[in-house]
Amino acid sequence: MATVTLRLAPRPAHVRTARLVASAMARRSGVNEELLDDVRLAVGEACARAVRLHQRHGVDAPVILELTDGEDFTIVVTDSVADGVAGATPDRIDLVASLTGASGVVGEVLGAGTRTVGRTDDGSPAAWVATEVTEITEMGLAETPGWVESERLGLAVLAGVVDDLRVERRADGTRVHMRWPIKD
Amino acid sequence: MDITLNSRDEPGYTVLEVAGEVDVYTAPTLRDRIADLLDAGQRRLVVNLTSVEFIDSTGLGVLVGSLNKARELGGSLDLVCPQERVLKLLRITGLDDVFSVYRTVDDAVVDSGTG
Repeated sequence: MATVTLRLAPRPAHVRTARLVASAMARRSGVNEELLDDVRLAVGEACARAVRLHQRHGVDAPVILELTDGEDFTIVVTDSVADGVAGATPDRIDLVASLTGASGVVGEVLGAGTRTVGRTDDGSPAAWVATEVTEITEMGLAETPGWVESERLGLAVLAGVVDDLRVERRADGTRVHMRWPIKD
Repeated sequence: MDITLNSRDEPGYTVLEVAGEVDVYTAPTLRDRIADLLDAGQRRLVVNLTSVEFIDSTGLGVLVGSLNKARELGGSLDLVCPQERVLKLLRITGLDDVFSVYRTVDDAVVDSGTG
């Protein structure tokens, strides 16, 4: 088992670097060719989310990307923005939906999250995205076309392309775990 | 690779050709370009994603935000996308129900009755 760790300054330009490294390492590790696009997308989404989060909060600490190959191929993306908006509820999701007029997308995202991840505690992507969307709305960023949509869509994409996805919220940040099989 | 944007006005509609990678770094460029077209009075936009190498949720979010803005102005924003990779993303996110998606620019123009 070997781990490669990248520390990315939270700049949008570096997300592409993360994608390139992840897909190169996934290929070398023996992840099925058909899954490489999914790896690239998922890493891009997880890192883009972390970078957006760091920028919103003015956090200059690096986003940490850990890639490990062993019996399978795992990627963990860690941000260091403390959990400031805990306790989002479905009511707040509905509020956001009505604010943005895109309830179809919300429903789709929540459906995807529920389908993919069994946990219903704070590890659930649905609760996770609700929290972050609420935060963006409260910060007034929803005025910028595409902000809220990007957060929701990012989760839908993650849930859609990673079969084994786990979100770990900690006091000092969030860790997004992703895992893919390696062919024999 | 960065992003390349080229727009051309046709009678009754405007085509925006997008090439390269649309991600958290380049999506603001796309957002601003579409906003400029709407500000300039263009109301029927066809966004051609045929030459897009990669698009993430930031890019999709910009397209949704722009679609909402176009509709508020009484306009439209349709997508052209023959690539299975991008079509899969649209299905995963449910956006295939939100956008009209066509295989070619000609299909988009004929269907929206502007050709």
